[in-house]
Amino acid sequence: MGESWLPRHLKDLSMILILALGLFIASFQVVSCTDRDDAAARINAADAALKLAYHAVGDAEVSGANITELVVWLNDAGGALSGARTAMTLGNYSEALAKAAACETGANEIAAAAGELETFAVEGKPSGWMTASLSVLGSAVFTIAMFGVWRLFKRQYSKRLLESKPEVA
Amino acid sequence: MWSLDDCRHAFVAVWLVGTVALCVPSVLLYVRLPAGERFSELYILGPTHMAENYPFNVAADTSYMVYLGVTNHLGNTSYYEVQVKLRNPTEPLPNVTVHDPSSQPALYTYEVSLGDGQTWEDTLNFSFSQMSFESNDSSVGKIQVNGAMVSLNESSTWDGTNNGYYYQVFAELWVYNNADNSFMFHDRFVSLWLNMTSPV
Repeated sequence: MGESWLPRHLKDLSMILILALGLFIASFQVVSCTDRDDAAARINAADAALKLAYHAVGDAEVSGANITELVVWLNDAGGALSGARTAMTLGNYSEALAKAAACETGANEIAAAAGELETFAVEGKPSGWMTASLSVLGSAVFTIAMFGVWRLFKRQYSKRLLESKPEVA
Repeated sequence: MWSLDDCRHAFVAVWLVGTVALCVPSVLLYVRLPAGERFSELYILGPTHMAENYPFNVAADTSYMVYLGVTNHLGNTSYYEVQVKLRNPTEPLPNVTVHDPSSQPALYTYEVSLGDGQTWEDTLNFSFSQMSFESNDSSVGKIQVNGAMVSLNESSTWDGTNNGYYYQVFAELWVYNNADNSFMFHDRFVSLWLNMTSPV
């Protein structure tokens, strides 16, 4: 009975094995698809974050902040995004995911730093009214000072002229 | 010795210059001085970092390198994309007159942020593989750009006048438009003619 069991069930066993193999391959492909989708979604998120960071840096620049360092960081984040896209084309989804995440994190930090710089720049920037007042006040003080110096100079000039001896030709 | 009148004129001149100088910051708050011409530069240099020795005759599975550079003269920090593309002689180039980029897909994209007056430069490394030659046609199956492998379906027929199978690698400059929140073709591109030679 034991000898006759194997050939009888060999067909069933092989069917089960084929089914198991098919299931394994299918599950592997599903995992692979998920990785690809995750990486693609992360790259899109990184791209959007980088654009937001650029807007924030632009706003900081308009407010008069020094953004030199932020531009260097933006380029680093941009490089990470390009790297993520490259990894994606090579099918290296884990690397694409990591680089996109690095880009997104960097971009968020840039946006935050740009926001702080903008606040400092706006607070430290003299207002238009203040600048105009200082200009008017400065001009008035300068005019009075020049007038005073002129009067002193004229007095000294006249005194020196009166005290000078006439030249005999 | 100066006369009193000469001295008065000198004093008035100094007073005028000083007053104008003190008023300049206030005036600049309301008056915008005309800016210079605003533009961006895009350039390509050979492997020796000079405008010479550009790759021309290319073979399969051999790496070639050139430099790409961008300079920002737009008056503010700008966000650029440099898109690397490939075409054969029958496919259209970008049309800068009508601000139309090439319809070819980007093989690689550089993301570049530049402050006003700043320059960015990077290498462009590329190699071709799966090249084939049959009668008067050649085709390229894959191109690797800065490590990114991209599948292609580009073919080129024999150019009897210039004796070669010609392809053109070109880089388009795109700039981010704050108003539209999207990149726009910036009417700049540089290109490199390549002659595909025998397969390995």
